[in-house]
Amino acid sequence: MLAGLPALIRAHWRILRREPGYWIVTLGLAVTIIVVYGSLLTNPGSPQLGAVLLDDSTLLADSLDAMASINGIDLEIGSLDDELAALEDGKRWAVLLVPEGTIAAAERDEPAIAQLLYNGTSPLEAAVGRGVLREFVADLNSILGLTTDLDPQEMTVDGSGGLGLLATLFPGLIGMSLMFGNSWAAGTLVSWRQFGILKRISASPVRPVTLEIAQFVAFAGLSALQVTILVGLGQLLFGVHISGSYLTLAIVAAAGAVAFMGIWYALAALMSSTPGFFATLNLASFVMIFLGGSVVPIENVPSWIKPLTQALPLTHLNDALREVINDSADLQAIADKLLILTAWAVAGFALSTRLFRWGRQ
Amino acid sequence: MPALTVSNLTKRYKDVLAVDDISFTVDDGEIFGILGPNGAGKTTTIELIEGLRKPDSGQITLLGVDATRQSSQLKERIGVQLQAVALIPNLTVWETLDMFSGLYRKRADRQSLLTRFALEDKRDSRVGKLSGGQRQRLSVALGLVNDPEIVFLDEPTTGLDPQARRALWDTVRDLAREGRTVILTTHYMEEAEQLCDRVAIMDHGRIITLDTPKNLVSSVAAERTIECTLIADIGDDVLGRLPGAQSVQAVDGFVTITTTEPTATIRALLNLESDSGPTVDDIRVRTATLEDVFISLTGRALRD
Repeated sequence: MLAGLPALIRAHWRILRREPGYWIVTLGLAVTIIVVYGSLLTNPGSPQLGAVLLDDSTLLADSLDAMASINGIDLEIGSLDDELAALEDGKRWAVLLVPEGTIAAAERDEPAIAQLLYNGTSPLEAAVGRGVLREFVADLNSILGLTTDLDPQEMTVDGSGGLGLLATLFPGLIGMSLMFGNSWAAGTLVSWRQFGILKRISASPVRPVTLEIAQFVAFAGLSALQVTILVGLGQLLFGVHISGSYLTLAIVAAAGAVAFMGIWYALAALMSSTPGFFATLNLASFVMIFLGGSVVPIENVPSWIKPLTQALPLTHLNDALREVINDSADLQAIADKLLILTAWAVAGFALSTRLFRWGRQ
Repeated sequence: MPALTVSNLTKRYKDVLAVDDISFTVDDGEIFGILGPNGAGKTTTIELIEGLRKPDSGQITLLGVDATRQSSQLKERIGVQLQAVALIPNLTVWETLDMFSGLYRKRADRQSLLTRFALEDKRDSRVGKLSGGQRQRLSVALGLVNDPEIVFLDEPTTGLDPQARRALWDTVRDLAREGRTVILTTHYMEEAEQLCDRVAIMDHGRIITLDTPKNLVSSVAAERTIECTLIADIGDDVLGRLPGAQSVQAVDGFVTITTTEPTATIRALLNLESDSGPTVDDIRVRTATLEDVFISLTGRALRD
């Protein structure tokens, strides 16, 4: 059934070994992606926050201190002038202003109005800082039985819950790398066809599916290594946290790899030249990394683009990866996405073997 | 049982009828040549038989099996060398043999293939660094990795120097001696004449004649060809009136005369009157070759 498989895998490995440029670039790409993205998007340390207590109740100061130390957050309590200066210097992400008479107001059953101050020049940090302080106020209210409201204007801040942009996009980087990393097998197929090597192979009893499996096995290792580098460096250098299990992550990655292998093989069956194949691949990939949520978040895209994003296989791969990495999802929770990826794989491989051509004519 | 039976085989590419309703059989153990100019349909014919292309119509029975169904069992039993040498430049000679022999269940001894094709020294050289002749020999060797019953060689000696060409002819004869059937295409009439038990001459997708080289030559052997160089200025009309002369071609003083009576023609040629001494120089008489067969059948030279 799969006669010729070992010989073809062996030959591909030998060819790969002779192309140091290829695998150095491939693995170097993974390192570059994570280092560049990590440096650009990572949180610069824990949130730097300040509080100004105009109410001189020590109860408030003690409670704030305790909450800050529990959550591992830097919270300075200082004078209004000091904290405003620190905010302007960028030393504080956000500052909470607790008004005079907060405790007294609570005793009278009246709400007090607290204010949130932030520096508008670093919106990402300001947003995280405001989010954390909002939580503080809510906690304070419940612990001390207060009814402090935040300044209504400040209440409209977009609280992301403190999840940084890197954490949001990191799964998408893995998806992108799986998409590109698994295109080389199909690319090799196209060039072998262009140069007539496939024609000679077609004179032997080898079947197309055997060749495709051999290429998958030969190239998948490199793709797996890319993902390992991304995950490893992400955790090591930028504190990326993988909340789900590594096994689930590996299964999702494998499903993504097979899906894209199938998709690119289908493209390889349609294209007759290597440059044509890679040009089309680049176009399709370009659309997918942007609309599939690999380099920019797609939660808030215009509604007319939404159906398009949902039609892309990368979107589902990224979603599945995101749920495993950020929300510790198990296989059951992402079964629908795995099913969609499997469907893409089956369709891709079916189309590619149906349209398979050994020669150029 | 014949090794190969082809009947009414036709293949059309868009406007071109590449193979036009051809039929022939090849016997077991035979060296069968398909001779013809470029574009005659030789490669298409051989690739249809190998199962690399699908015929528009016609039957091909190879080793008793319908070859148009492209069964993998049949491919296991045939050896193929393709005309365009397509090899992976980054693999060594040995690795290339390893890859292609690994595609088959039955495997010939690779070391003896290296010896047979004088590639032992190049065992660990990258294919991309081989000379054209070495690559061509490797390509032929790949046709034998599965110890095939039938070997198809598509212009196997193209790009080889005369010495390597003769060495390959010996190898092909050995293959036949080992009991294999060899089907080869060539546009070298000398190759077909020296090597093949029978030759089919193709032109414009048709087989215009098929026989042993000896029979083919004797079919036109009534005529001999006299070639000479003119020193004096003598018109074609004079040459045409020489006894026995059938046709005369004169290009830049180089004259080719076909004749049914070579002795009389030569004597008359030497006796042509001239004011300034000898009239002709460098006289040669050729017996007919397959080239002449081709010319007499098509009116054109084999390599135009």
